[in-house]
Amino acid sequence: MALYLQIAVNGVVISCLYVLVALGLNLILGIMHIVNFAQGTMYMLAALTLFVLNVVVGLNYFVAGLLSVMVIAVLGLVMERLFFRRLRGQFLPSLVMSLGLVLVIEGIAWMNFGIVAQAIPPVFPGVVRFLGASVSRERLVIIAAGLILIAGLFLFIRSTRAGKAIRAVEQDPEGAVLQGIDLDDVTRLVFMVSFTLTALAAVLVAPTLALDPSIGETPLLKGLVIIVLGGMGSVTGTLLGGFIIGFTESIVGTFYDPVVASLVSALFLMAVLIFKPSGLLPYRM
Amino acid sequence: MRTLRWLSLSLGALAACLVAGHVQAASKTLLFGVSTSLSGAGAPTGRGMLRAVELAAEDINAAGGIKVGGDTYTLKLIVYDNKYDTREAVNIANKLIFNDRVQHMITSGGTTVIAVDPIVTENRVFNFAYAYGGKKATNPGAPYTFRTITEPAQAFMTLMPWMVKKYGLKTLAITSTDDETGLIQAEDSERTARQLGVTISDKAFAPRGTADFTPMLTRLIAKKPDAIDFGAWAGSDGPVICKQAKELGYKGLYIFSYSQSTPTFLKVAPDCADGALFFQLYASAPTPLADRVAKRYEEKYKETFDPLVWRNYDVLWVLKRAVEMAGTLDPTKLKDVMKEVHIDGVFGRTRIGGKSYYGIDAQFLFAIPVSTYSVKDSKWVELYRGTVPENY
Repeated sequence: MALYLQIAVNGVVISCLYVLVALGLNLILGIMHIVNFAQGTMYMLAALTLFVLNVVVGLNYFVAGLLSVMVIAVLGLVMERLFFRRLRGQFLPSLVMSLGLVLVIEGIAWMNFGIVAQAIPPVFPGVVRFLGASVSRERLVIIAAGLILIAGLFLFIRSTRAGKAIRAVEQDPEGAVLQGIDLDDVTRLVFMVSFTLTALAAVLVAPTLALDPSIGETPLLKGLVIIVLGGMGSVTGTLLGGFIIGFTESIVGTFYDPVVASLVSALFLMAVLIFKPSGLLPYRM
Repeated sequence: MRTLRWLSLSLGALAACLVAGHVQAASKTLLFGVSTSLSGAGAPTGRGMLRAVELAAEDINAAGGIKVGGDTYTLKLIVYDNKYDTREAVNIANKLIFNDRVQHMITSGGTTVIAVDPIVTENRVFNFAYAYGGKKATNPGAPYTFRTITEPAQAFMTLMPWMVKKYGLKTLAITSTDDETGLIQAEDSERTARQLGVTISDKAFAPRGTADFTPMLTRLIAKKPDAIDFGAWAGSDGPVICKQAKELGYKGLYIFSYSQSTPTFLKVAPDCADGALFFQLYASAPTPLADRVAKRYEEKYKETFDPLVWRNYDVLWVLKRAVEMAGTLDPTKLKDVMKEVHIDGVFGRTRIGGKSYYGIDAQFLFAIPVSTYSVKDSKWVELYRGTVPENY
């Protein structure tokens, strides 16, 4: 019983982490038709900014976290304006642009942070045990904050005027423009929300990781798998895809090993691409 | 006017002689290739290796270089980042041998050393291996490869009997990387444990750089082993897997049988190091020479000393001794004198042996410690030090 409960807890934690990054990726993909490889780099940059502000400068974790998220959100606006706005809808040029940004930013990070992994002191130390399962307080916070953020994004997309504008642009950009929606405003907003989500994920997870400039690679890769699985541009699809991948890794990783878990995830992905290429829950913003 | 011309010609000839002399002196540089991981998860250990070799090269050059017959050679390093990637390491070995024309080199990483073995053997290039890799890396078919660090086989043979007795171990779980290095490490651990009557409760393997170890650890911990050997997890993976095992509530003995970068470990998971066993970790400088190396490291690199650096400081000194004994730089002759080489190195007496296990004397041998970290006292504490038998 304790083992199965532990597997479930592990599955929820892994899923929440993946979903947060994948949602950010998917928003940009759905609205701008850009696969932004720099999303993983923003994740890394948020975590390292948090490290600098919290450990080097000495700011309180929450203040440092808030500032890190703000820095990355502003960076989202800058990147949208300088690099991506003119490439809206151009799949290949935007792909190359995002890869170029990854190389430049990661290179700078390696030069500045060096190769010894850094760490942020635990913010919520200790472990909680229930019914034989064990989970760190840090991971419980990740679950809670992750679920709140996901719910918040749903509410934002479904209930607010800005969210409705995003949905309109995603469904029919030309129609949305005819209704008076400013496309530039929406893409700016999407970049900001997307980068904010990614930065929040990084700030939440950073105290549990060894930080180096390569930490964004795994979330990016998993995020892309989740988007294809769940459906491009679909928030509910991303949620479903994230939980499928998270629980696959937890269950198969426990009873077999992480390589078999990745193999099973890849088989899921291939099956979806063959039988439902648009993803499990496409276009349901 | 005529005198002036002769004077000019004489001065020109003198200058030419000086330049030629300078060129001749420059040609007595011994190029030493370094193929190590300077990026990715293996970077902390790879960088430690590079710095050890850098310090030793500086010390040897300052002490007059390497003497062969009437010639004196100054060491110069040619460094490449192999990213702990076999394809990259093979490219680098080819580059070092065919472009840079090196005859002596060092490679870090078990799988990378195994990958470059055929190249160095075929081209008769002396390759020091900062690597595990067991008999796959060290065997009579690879006569130019010499391992600089203690292998799990020697460490387990020397340390596990003490560990089993002291902690009363009856069951052991093993997790390791799923590459050549990790699998050999796990095999050695399992074989020695079984010989000592310890039951292996479970084993789990994953690729380096795995972000979340909790699923794999959940299964291992569910079997309630007395101890977990964390195999070849190193770099930033070592402290992260330790931290996650603690989060899952594991209360048994944590064993790190693979070399860990202590600065990285203490930054990422200091609480985790408390009470855990770290093979081959020296709590303090084992010799006055080691102490001097540590101080020079801190002066030169302005960082806390990483004890991993000691592992490879002796490499160039062993090469120097072998070259001076053989009277040549020729790797085909050097390999024959290696079994006679012994130096007073950073760990005390260091010799080359291992024929009874590998079929060839190609393993650096010295005393092996096991240490732990005390959070309360903020310091490493050596618990035991064992010696490999002379006939090994």
